[in-house]
Amino acid sequence: MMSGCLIILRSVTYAQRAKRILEKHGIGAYVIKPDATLVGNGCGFAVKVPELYLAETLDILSRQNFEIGKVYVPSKDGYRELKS
Amino acid sequence: MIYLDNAATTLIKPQTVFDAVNSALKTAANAGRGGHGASMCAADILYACRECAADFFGAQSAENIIFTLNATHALNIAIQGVMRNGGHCVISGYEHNSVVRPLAFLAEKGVSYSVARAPLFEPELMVEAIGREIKKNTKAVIVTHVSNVFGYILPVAEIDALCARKGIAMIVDASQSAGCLPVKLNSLTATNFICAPGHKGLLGPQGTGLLICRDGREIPPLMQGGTGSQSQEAFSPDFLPDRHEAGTQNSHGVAGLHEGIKYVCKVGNVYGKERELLDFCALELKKMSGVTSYYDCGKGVQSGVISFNLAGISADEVSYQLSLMDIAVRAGFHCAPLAHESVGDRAGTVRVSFSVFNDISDVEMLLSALHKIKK
Repeated sequence: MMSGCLIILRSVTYAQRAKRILEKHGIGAYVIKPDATLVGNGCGFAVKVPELYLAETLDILSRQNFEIGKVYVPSKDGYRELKS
Repeated sequence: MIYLDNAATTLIKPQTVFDAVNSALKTAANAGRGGHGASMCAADILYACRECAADFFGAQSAENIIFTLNATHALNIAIQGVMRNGGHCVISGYEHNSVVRPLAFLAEKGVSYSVARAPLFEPELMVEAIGREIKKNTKAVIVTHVSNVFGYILPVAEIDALCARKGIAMIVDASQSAGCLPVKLNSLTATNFICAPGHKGLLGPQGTGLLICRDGREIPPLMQGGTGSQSQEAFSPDFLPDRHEAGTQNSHGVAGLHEGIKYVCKVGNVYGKERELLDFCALELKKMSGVTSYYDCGKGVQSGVISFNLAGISADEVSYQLSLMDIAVRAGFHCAPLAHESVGDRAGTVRVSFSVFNDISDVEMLLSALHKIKK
């Protein structure tokens, strides 16, 4: 699986929608089921995008009124939560 | 077989529906549960159908499409949700038991309802009748878009406008109209829920249905359970579609439903096609002696459904005789006793209902068979 940033979303449906919207903006995104400990309140889904496009991705999703959960960037230990 | 019982379910489906179900059975696991390819395949199937249905029904977004087992399931979510704290609602005199029975069930929670009575094929009088039944404590108006017994197209837009003026919510039962007539949430104001089966005019498999929500978060779920989201929380999620989709979703059926909707879009004017058959059938029935039929006489307020009776022969006997000639129709009260009361019928009717796959030769065979039965 490609390395990249994880944006936790509320459900697989929202992740699917995010993926389609991002693809329309030319950003390749994957829907993945991240480790439940990353989600915060149990199982959930995320979109995975290249780190290069993280800021743009967050901007696009915010403008589409997505409720964005935690955001993770790759680190040497796995993932590091990006605090806003 | 000549299949003319499409108001119950469409038996003939496009080949693409069979192919999609077959493919999904082999490839789609449980959507929103696993991170593996087969689970994601199921999630893709559900989402693609949500997007398509949202566009088809004028919903704000794909999340506003809730998959249900059938229209009855969708109606129960909407009715039991909206009326959960009691209150009064108004229904038309052409409602199915899928509306009447949930309301009767809710009587112990303080729910009452009034039936707006108006003659068949008189839409203006129906709007007036509904207006007369609205009280100070009326919380909702629930109407079928098309009567499953008579094909009567109720004036949903005008009733919606009336409800909007009065500040009352509306629920539309699109069981007979979805896939035949345009039903768009974004063209209505007071309507918060449209309930549709997947297996009738939308040509999908049985076990599929849709609840199209304006918001939908304001009502509690009918069922509680796993959703694959917020799984450490004891309560159901407060967001759509998960709030109303507890348990494994029917991705195999939804794959077929998606193809059914696409087929309907490709055909275009389904109403026009069914209406041609209706007019031909109705005018020929009028020529037959001893036949009582329910026809709008070209007023354009009837879809591809017609009820009739043959003098001296019960509806069930006519249906049985037709079945011996390999013609499928339905007889009786069609789970809608209110509709029969509204026209003064006490014995039930023979109902013929068309789909996009019927043609004039089917009607000719039916008429020929009826002539034989009359002899």
